[in-house]
Amino acid sequence: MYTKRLIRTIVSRMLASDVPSITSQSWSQLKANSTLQVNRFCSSVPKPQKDLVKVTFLLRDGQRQEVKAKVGDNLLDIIVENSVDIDGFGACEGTLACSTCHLIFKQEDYDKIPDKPTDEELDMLDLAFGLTETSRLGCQVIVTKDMDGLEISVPKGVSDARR
Amino acid sequence: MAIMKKFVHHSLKQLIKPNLTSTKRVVSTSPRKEQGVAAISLEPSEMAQCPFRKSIDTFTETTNAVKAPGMTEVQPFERIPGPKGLPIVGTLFDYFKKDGPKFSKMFEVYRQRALEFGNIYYEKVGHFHCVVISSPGEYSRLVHAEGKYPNRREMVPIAYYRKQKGFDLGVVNSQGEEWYRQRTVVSKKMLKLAEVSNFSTQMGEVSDDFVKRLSHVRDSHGEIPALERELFKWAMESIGTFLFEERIGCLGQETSPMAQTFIANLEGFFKTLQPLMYNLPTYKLWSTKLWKQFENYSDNVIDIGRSLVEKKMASMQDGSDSKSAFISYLVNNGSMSTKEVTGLIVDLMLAAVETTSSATVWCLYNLAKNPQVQEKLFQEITEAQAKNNGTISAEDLCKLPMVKAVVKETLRLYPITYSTSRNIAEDMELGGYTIPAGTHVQANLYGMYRDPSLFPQPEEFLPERWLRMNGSQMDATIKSTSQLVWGHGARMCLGRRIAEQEMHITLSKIIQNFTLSYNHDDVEPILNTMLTPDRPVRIEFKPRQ
Repeated sequence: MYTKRLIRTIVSRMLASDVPSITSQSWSQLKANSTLQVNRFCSSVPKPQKDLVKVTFLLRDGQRQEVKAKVGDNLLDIIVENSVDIDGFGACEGTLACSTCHLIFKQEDYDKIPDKPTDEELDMLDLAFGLTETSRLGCQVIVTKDMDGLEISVPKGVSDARR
Repeated sequence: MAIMKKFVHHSLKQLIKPNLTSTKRVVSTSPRKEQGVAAISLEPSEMAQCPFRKSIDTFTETTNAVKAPGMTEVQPFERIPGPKGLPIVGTLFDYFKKDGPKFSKMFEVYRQRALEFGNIYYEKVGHFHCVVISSPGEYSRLVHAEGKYPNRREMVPIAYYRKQKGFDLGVVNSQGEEWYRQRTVVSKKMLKLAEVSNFSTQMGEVSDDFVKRLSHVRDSHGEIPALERELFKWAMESIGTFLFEERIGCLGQETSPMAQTFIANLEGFFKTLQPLMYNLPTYKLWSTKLWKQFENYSDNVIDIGRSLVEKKMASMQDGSDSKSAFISYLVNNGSMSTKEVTGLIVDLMLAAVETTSSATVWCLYNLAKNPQVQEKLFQEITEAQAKNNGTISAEDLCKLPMVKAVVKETLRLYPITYSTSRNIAEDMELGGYTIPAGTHVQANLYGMYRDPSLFPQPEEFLPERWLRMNGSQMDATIKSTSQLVWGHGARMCLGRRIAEQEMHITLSKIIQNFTLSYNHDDVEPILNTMLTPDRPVRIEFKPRQ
């Protein structure tokens, strides 16, 4: 009982400093005031260039799909934008919480990727199905100009391996 | 539906009542098969009338089963081994026996059961039933099979409380589209490394203040009285830098009464949540004493949290200096209402404090008991500083391999969440059995983490085992289990990257400033929803030099 009263006092004191409650009108005011700050968050993907390169995905069923990839985008975005149909791909939407955007590179291509995998990516890759030495998470690989003509394998998913 | 529910509740009540009054006389439901048979030997006529017949049928099938077929054949769900309990209540009464399993030690129960029944077993404790997997390989198959909207079992008492109060379930307890709508907005800011590291400087300042406070509150033995409380304050102050971009004021000479009340109630909240989760949900029938306590703690925590958020929002709208990029982002995103934004931030505060502080107290305990690890960590920081003109930014502290390994190894020995789970979406085969869709499947993390076949010398604190340069390549599937303490996939802990950053910074700064030692009896883990030490951890903090 005592704690409840204490809290009520604290809360009412906190609110007493003539703070108006939030109405729908003031809410839009709040929105307007806060638009200025939106840019404070940097985008994790720098996108200065608009150049396009050709990237080919070797799909699970053996098909090849060639897409035009924007330099500066990550491979997950490219797969989503080009509607490359890969079952279960990118479940966590690039937030480094799953390994469903697992892709496999040729050794020489793997070595050329400028951003080396972070510890966080390597940890997440441990959860990947069919992990190889040249595996990366698509959401962490940014397309560069040098990648024109790149061929990337989509590893078999768990559904392909089901008995 | 409602009538059905009432009926079930009523019958449950009838069925349980006599047993509750005569607990001593209840037949044993311990996992020995022959006792299990005795426990449910009913007349065929009774069985026909029994509304819970399925479980009895199931059991009969199991006992009458012909010799198990070859290993390759997938066996039906009913054959999964496990402790056989009574109908309806399952093994619940075992937990009330003097020398029986304990709710506060569920992690140990899982480990023991796995040793007895193997890598897959089934148990029904009251209304809580699940399949428990203790093989990293098998659980990873579940991880691989999950889709875009993984279903994680709600925390029943929290969900019930929220329904009673007319709150929505929020991102923690909702499912499907409702969950996804919020998750997709929030995860973009909370889980991306680049976003989180934007706050490393502010979190570093909080850690500096915390280190100062620690020097200040040391007692005559050099110990910190109520270290857990101090860590609570640090965790709250730290999450404040992200949520509100301001200092809440927990780390000054005097902690604000608001913060103190919040912390005290949050402790109570998790403490009472633990037994409510496993016991029969009698609180749905009448307001039990424990429920009333839980309700009171929840009310207080939510009241304070909400008042903080509302105050912040009001000061943001009146054109003053006040800002919060996170709140602005949520508001401007357009897919969440004011009520939802407020609810979400309160949820994040609830989830950010006790979890991070419990994990950190275990880290400090392990460091204090292992001076050689402290020295390695200290060396690592000193070397990194030397390479950078004698300074190191908070952001760089987060990249040190040893501090990361300390956190991983601590969470292996003391996984603050001892299991992770899913309600599986489709029928699947696990551990040689068919598991039907909707089954609650748990990973026995504590058991796996202390399994010598997976982690040699499992009782030892050896952070080096996680270092990549070490050469000793741990199997990827075994290594990946360290991730599971944070949950997995699209439902992985939303605060993971923030918590890791906070912990990496603070642990490094503490080791930069103090030598820790532990001069008392070992503490034991106990569940207060989270795995916490069973008594105050008295660590000596000796200033360096």
